[in-house]
Amino acid sequence: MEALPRLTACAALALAAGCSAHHDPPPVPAGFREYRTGAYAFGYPAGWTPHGGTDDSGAPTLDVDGPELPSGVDDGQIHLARRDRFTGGLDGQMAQFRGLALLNGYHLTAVRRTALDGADARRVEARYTITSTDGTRTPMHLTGLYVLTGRRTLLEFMIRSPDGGSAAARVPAILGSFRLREGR
Amino acid sequence: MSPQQRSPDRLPDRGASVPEYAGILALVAAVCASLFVLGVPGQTSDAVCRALHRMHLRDACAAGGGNGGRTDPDEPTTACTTGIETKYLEETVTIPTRINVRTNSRGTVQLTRRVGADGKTTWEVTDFTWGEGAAASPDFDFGFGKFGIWGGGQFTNGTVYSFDNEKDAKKFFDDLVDHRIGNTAKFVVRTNPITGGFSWLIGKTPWVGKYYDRWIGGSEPEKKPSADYQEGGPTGGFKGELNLWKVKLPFKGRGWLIDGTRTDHETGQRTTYFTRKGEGEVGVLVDLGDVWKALPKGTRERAAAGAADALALAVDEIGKRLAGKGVELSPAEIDKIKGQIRLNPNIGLNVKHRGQTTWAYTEDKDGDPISLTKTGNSQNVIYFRADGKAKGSLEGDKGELTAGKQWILSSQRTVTDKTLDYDDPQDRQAFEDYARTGDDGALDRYFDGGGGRMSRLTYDVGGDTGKLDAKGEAGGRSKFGGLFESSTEHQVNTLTGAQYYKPGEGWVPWKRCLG
Repeated sequence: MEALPRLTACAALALAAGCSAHHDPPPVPAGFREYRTGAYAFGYPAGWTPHGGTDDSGAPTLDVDGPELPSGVDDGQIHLARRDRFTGGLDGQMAQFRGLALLNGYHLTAVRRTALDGADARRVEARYTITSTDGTRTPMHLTGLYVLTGRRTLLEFMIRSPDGGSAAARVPAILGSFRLREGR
Repeated sequence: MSPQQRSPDRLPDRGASVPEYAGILALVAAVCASLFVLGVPGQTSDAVCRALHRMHLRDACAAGGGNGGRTDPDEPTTACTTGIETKYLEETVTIPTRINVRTNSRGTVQLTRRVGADGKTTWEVTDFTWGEGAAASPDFDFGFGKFGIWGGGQFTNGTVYSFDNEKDAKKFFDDLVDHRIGNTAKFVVRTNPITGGFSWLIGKTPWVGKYYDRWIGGSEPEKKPSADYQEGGPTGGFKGELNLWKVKLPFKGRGWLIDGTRTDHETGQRTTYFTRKGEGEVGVLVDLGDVWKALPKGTRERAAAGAADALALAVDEIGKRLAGKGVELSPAEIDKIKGQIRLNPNIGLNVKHRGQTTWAYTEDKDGDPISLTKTGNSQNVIYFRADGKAKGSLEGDKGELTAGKQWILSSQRTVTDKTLDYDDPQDRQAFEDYARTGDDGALDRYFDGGGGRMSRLTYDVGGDTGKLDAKGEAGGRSKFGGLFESSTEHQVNTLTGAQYYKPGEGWVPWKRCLG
């Protein structure tokens, strides 16, 4: 029976060190739910609602909406889009993002190169203002990532949050929870 | 010219063909938008002088001695496209699966002739493939994880090769057409969004790979490209958020499609093309019988005899019916209609108008903005029907005919470029105002008042664009095994007019472009 405590100790150590045979994404923060697919996973605040949609070119998108504020603006929204077998590059994608930001009146505050789980990525931040039906102008903040995996899957992960809402404080945790998975 | 008689805007059984238009029109916009900023003061005057010489306006040169090297600050500094020849192959594949997969690929080889700011002519051959991947489904939850097909949307890829003489460019163009498009079946396998991926993979396997590539038409020419196009990626949900929330839209229909990004290898500049979703086509049917009824008795006979005033009355009346749908006729189009009325005062006209706005955003190699160009690309195709009656059809928004034959009387494209120079503080302010308010009228007033630069180019559109066009006509399309259809088309755009805008004077001839 001597082996047992050692095995248990080893197992406990393994768990603590996170060295399981599987490379699962880390657990999501407290109060968050996980959205997991074959290619990526991320955490979002419980109480936010995921739903599918399409973008202007008919490609599917995923949006996770926070609760609605009295102004009609959602208190936070995650927007995810994906292109498989993307034949372009991230620099071209950034040119497109900058153009769209200009056309939509967004003010870019940060664009920088980064990496996510070994894949090339870009991080963007922007500010803009939207006007609600009652005329209220709400300053907004956008933080996002573009990731291009080795299998040429392009992922766009955007988080929008209004000034004066509770979402802004959760953006770093949401962004930090975004991970790539094996099926990419 | 091959006997294929198709017009580019057929496919009446397919609903949304805006992405197709976007692809084709974007090509035209691309060559006229601010790709190069080649302001070369001093040299322009010689080119202008030569052009004026050719137009027998020698005095203008002699007097000013070449106008002292001054360039007109209102003259656009961009290259001007004087001709475009396009050959394209389109194939549509419908694969019946649980998730209905219908995909579409287009391959285009295009030869473009342009005159730069220095007056020199260059040629470009663009090898383009784009497709609409309709295979797209969001993630379905299978209990053990979510999976979906995310190949949706449209994609574009292209390579550009530059030449300084027409002979080499034409040979390259012809060779590339044969190589890329020559064989429909191979083209389908290579470019179709579903099978295309596998084709690429086979091309990469050792000792079979390199021969497969050449056979399938996927191998690249030896010549180094001068630029390439990359497909439009996700649109960041910029419009989506405005839809989902109960917010007041700054202006309606702000959804943007990305046609693609062009990277110039020499300068590192990138230009991205955006078009607005939802712009489409208008069709107007006009029966001359109705026109004569609205005019004084005897007008028809006098018009057939060639009386100028009677013809003018007729085209005026036709113009009113078209204006109601937002379509305007150019002087050249009016002349052609008059000519046809003289031959047969009982004709019917079918006028199809397609207009699209494209924004081209150019940044330098470091990602800093250089310019923004708003391009209006409109095309009128005027068909005439000898029998004068649209049998069994009603005049409506689509202008479709249910039976009968018609012929193209005129096909003209007008490309209007409005460019804002990001280095100019006033231009930049105008753009920022536009981005905030979406007020097209205010932006146009800025240009009309002398801000920015404007040019207007008119092209005759010919080639195998279809002398014959009637709904249900199968000409030029082939079906293979019920799964896919292909069609080949050939279009030639020839410059017939070029102007730029001088505030205080209006539209003046753009001699550098025409000369």
